[in-house]
Amino acid sequence: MISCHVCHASVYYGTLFCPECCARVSEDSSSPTNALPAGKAADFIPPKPTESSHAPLTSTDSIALKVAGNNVGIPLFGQQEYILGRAEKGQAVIPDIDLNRFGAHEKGVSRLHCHLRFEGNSLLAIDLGSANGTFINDNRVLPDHPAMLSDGDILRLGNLIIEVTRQIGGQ
Amino acid sequence: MEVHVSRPVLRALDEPQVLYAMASIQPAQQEGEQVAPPLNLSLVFDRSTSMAGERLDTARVSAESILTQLRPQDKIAVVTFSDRAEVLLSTELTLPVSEARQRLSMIQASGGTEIYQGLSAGVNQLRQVRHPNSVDHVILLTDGRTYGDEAACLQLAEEAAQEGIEITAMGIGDEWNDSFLDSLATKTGGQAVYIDNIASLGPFLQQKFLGLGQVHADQVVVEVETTPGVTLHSAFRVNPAPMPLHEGHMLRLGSLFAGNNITLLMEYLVPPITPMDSYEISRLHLGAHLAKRATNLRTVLSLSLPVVNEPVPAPIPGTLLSAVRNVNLARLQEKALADAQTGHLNLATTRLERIATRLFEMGEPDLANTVLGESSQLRRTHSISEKGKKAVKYGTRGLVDPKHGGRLR
Repeated sequence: MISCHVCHASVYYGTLFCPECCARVSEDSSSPTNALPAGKAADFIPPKPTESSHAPLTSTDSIALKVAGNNVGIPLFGQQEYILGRAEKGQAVIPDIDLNRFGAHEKGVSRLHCHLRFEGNSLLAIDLGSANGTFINDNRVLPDHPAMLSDGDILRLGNLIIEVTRQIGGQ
Repeated sequence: MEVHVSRPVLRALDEPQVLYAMASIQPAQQEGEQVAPPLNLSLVFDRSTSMAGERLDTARVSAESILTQLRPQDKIAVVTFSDRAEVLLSTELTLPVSEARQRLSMIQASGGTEIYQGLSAGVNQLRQVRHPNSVDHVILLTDGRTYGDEAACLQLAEEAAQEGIEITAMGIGDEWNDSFLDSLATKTGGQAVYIDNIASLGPFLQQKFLGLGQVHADQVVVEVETTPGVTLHSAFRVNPAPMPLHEGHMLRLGSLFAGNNITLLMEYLVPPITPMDSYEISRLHLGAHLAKRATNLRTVLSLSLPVVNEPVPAPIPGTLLSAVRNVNLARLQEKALADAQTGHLNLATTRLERIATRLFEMGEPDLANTVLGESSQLRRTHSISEKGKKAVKYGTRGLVDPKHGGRLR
């Protein structure tokens, strides 16, 4: 299934217009989100308060995203918010952080998958109605329900695993 | 018959996927100079009390005008009905025009509306004269609801369809039952028309009459045979006369008029599949009656696509894209009206507002405002007016094919 970017209804792959709101379904055939095979995609887990022994991250921290299997950190620096996803040719809105080079398509990352935002003193993650879901430490983040991130949390977009860390020796 | 699909390939997925197919049925190229087939036309007019005045006068004048244009090979019947039916002009009689006019002038409005009475007399008139090369058509005109005989009417329509008789059902004003007339027409491949303004009746009947006199084929049917696992999720006649087709796998499409195509939009749901060279989604069995040659045409087309792991980017034909969009709007509107009827008011108003948003985006502010107006009325009064319902329904349906829209103003 893919998700309508306007009303978040789940629609079948190949659908051109959302049957619930008639918006053009943006995951068009040129680059749909790779639907993860059943069993591979984590089943729906009701959200519960993130149990993290780590300290919540704050806007004064120097924070980096580390994609599993990759040593380079992507610093979150200079912006109040970041959209994570995949940039595709001809896409009207592209993500701030393009995860294509980490095999995002194969791992089921949507083009606009997840929103990271500093709010007050916290760093929040918000799912953007992605096809394969956003998870923090395996707890699903629901669209429109921001969840707080802490140091060492595992943020998972579909099957793409990202560690959120406070950078050692940060500024 | 030509078929365009929304994607050149299917994807190997372990979940269902949607594929749209648009079939276009065209007249054969070389028709040559052949004599137009005879038309047997049955006009069935409601003469219940509410038809008195302008409505019945206009119907009478329109019928008179058709009388004088009949070709030597054509036959016409005029039937009026209230709670019983009268055959004013019979297909079996030949009358001087003056006498035929005289008979039409005697139509008096009175009584209730029992559509079965009129419809059955109208269909019987055609049964008496139909033969292998005739085009047989009933035009029903009513402004009211029929009570208690709807099932009988639908059964009759089913029989008529099998005999090759098509029904155009026209509703005047706001009181008639749109879903009933829709079903009645759909069963035979015909059309339901909303006459909002009585002045549009004459031109519509005239156009219909001329078209029917020159059909390339009638009784056009597509029987959709699907591969096990594949479902035909929906089918909609895009052109001419946009109508949802909800009669299972036997899609009755009506008549193929000169200079026109019949276009049909189908939405398939394909089950999870693995890569392969060619996957047959469905077979389309096309049938049509070629009145000019007194023969029946049958042909079959296989809809097959390769199944691959990766999507193959390809442009979607613009006509298919806009047809899918407009049909989607027409369907969402049907859902919203059904919600309103079943008391799901929040859902109904949300859906209507979404439709209005799209209509504004599409540059249809008039229709968008009509839809918004109905939505706010629904919020205020918890009900939707008959007039509003029809304006929304036939207005959105008309977007699918502006030339042959469902609402005549």
